[in-house]
Amino acid sequence: MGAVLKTKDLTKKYDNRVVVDNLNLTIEEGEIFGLLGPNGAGKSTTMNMICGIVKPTLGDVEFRGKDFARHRKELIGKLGYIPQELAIHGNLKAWENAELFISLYGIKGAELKKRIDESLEYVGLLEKKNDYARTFSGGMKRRLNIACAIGHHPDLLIFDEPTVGIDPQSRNFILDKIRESNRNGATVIYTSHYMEEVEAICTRIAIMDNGKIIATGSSEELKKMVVDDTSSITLEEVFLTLTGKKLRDQ
Amino acid sequence: MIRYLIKNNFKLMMRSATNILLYIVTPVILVALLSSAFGDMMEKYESGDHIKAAYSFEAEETDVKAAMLVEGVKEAAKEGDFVLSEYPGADPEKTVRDEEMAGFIVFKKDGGYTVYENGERKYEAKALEYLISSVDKRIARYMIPGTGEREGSDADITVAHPAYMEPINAVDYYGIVEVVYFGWCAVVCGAGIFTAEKKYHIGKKLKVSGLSETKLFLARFVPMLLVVSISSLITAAITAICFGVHWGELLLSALIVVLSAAAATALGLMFYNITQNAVVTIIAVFAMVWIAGFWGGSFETYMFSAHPRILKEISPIYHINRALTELSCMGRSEYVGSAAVFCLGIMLVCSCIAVTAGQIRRRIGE
Repeated sequence: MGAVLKTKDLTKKYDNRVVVDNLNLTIEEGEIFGLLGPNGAGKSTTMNMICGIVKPTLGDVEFRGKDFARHRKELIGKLGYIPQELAIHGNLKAWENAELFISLYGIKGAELKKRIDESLEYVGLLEKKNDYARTFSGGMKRRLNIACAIGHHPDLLIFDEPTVGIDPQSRNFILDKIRESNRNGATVIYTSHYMEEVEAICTRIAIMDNGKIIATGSSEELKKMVVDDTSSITLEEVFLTLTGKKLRDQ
Repeated sequence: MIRYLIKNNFKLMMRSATNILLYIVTPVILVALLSSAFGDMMEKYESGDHIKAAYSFEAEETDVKAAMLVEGVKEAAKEGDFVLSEYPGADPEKTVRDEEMAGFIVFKKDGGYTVYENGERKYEAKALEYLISSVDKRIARYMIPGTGEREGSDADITVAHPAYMEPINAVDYYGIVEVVYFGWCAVVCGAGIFTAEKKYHIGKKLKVSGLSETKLFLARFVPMLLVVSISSLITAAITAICFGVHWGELLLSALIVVLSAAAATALGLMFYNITQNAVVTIIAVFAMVWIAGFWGGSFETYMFSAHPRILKEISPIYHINRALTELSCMGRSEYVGSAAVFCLGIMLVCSCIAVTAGQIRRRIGE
């Protein structure tokens, strides 16, 4: 198994404020990589730089052994990005939203129709394909958001807090689908504030603070960094120990 | 494949009640209101009363151009509703006042002329001025510049049917200019998409997909143009059926309306790509369009407005309004060419700036 994605000295500065500081990250093929961090740690900026939404001040992103900025056209179809915002149009029907976003990757005609149905079925919305997205509940919108990002069959999925503001059933459904995608061969990068989610699905976790990775490892390995008896501590306690209890968004 | 993006953006715009209200309902209401409000004024110009005017010669002998101008104006006056009488040696200002005339023309020896207008008969005076300037322009084409001599044979010089303004009624005038004016507010039909893309971070997903700025521009430009053109044509059809608005040369008029919508769409997108703010864009575009419409005859008819000619000429809406209204009442217009050039020029320049602004923004990496 090789590296799917590598960041080399990835840095982002806004004026003189360093948001991401010389980040060197390697995501291995087939893993579900969890990225944790308090508000303002630089997680979303990192995701945005990986996806090409934000240009790094310094450093590179290497995707499948190639410089992502230079080979963007060739590699873009292999990347699926699920933003934390519900990036869908309320005045379009579910299938129209899926059509709009899946077609951006050059899929057309009968193949496009097949992919739309396949994606909507995957997130359990096929029966609602002719309903307007504005009539959907929060959980359904989240699922539609995912359907729109996976229809082009990417092999690296980036989930940026995909379970914010939804009920436990919908959350459970989404987590199951992430595991299923991973079993089907997709590598996943997952950011969340919900420690139990990250602990449940991620094979490797990185804790980020002040633009830097301060710890990396499996859930067990991270716990061992703090105490010997891992059964006596939760991932949240590890996180608070490593990043401190001070509020970050005052 | 931007055709799916274009298709879905088009659906989004067509499903917006605001767009239907702005591009169909409001113009229809305004046509009814304005044509009714200005009907009396335009009837006066149309035919009702004859417009009385006088003329005299500054010198006994005149040059070729002056003679042709007098002849042309007389011919044109006969065909219109002007009663033009010679008042040799009369005081123009006194005559105009005492005889309640629209104006008094003093033809000069060198082919020039002075029009004394009656301030109390502003609209009639403007019509008189318009008639003379139209004949003058027509004659000037046949003259060899700087010589005062005629170019070509006598047969080439005809003043029998000078292109002065035929009467147009208020319904036709406002039925046409309001469709043009609202078409220039094209940016509003894209505002819903801009806002949704920003609010729900859809722009992020579009960027992730690697969509180029040119494609992104086209994905907005094409549906906006389609929506504004279709709405304008629906409005034109409704006003033609309900109020009897005449559009003259239908195909040519439709082409000018579409070109006008294309220019307006590109202008709106240019502002949006620069500011990235729908509200600022709408305010800026509306202000520009209002000024261009004010000078170009969208509110007060351009025939009667007292704006300096240069201001009218720099307003693209003036050229479009004039081309369309003349096509309606005369079946031809010398302004078709300039209207098309204005529209194509604005469309090309604004499109290039819009795409470049997007590319710069992307390069900076916002």
